[in-house]
Amino acid sequence: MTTTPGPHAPRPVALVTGGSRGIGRATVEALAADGFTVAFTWRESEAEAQRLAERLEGRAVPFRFDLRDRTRPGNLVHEIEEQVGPIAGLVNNAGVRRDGLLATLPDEGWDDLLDANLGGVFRCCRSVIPRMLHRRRGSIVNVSSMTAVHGLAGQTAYGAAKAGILGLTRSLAREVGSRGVRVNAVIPGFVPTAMVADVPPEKVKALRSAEALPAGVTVEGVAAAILFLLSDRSAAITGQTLVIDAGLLA
Amino acid sequence: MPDTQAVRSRIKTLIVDALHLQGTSPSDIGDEAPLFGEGLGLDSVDALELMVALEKEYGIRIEGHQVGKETFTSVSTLAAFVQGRLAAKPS
Repeated sequence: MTTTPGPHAPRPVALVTGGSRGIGRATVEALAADGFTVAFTWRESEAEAQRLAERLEGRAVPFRFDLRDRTRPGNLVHEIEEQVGPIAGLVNNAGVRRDGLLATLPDEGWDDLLDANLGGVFRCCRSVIPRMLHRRRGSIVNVSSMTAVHGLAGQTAYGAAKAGILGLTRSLAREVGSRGVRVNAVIPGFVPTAMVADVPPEKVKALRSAEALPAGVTVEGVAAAILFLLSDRSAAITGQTLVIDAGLLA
Repeated sequence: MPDTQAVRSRIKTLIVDALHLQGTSPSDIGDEAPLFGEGLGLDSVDALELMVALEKEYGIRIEGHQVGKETFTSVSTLAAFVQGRLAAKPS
């Protein structure tokens, strides 16, 4: 499930949630270039998803998906396995970010962020795991956030969800490891994507100045780490969190 | 729809094949013998694997979180569950 397959070998299938933009799109591109056929999901950006699929010429197939939809993951996995093939890898990348001080956060806001960012990962894992166990093969990469390990004002709910992902990752790795299924997480550092476009410039400057590597973190850099963890190159690694932050937390 | 005995017999074969049970043949498994713990010694991960094998064998959809643990009590409870799903399956 790793390197470019030979001319007659079937391409392994990976599912990337939130694959039409930012880190997700770079991951779809990296996986497709590495020999995967990629099913990827989009929620709002249909045109971008279609363009990506066209550009990758059959190596990427878009599916509509909302993290909050509790019944969709089971059907989504079924559709992908019918239309594209057995899912060997899952990248839980989709997420929803909305900042606000805890003291002003309504219950609905808390519930919504937790349900989308942590519940969505839980439901996607639950939907692919039985099939991976049956095939005794599979790799899952969950995309967490710096805010899971480094507090950021305004991100109590988002940070709680992203920290929850790390706990889920470690325990799930223990549950399914005996059947050859691996589960890992990544923490991207500050990556200039649309998702962080509203972060104030002075905050961006402070974050960037703490990086050890002046080049910072790119979506391609994060995608390369995700590809590594999804592929057999990391066959001996499970339950781990890989930080891609240009040395920000060093 | 296959009769009860045929489903039970097939499930026993699936248990041995899908779960790679060494030293156990389908005929060693009793209809009412407990599958977990003291019985055949299966665990909850085995149950998930078996669930997918049943989906493939019978062309049915099973969501793990919608199936109670009691379904996996024995071959006979599993067979009853499969027959129920087959009966509800649109033709």
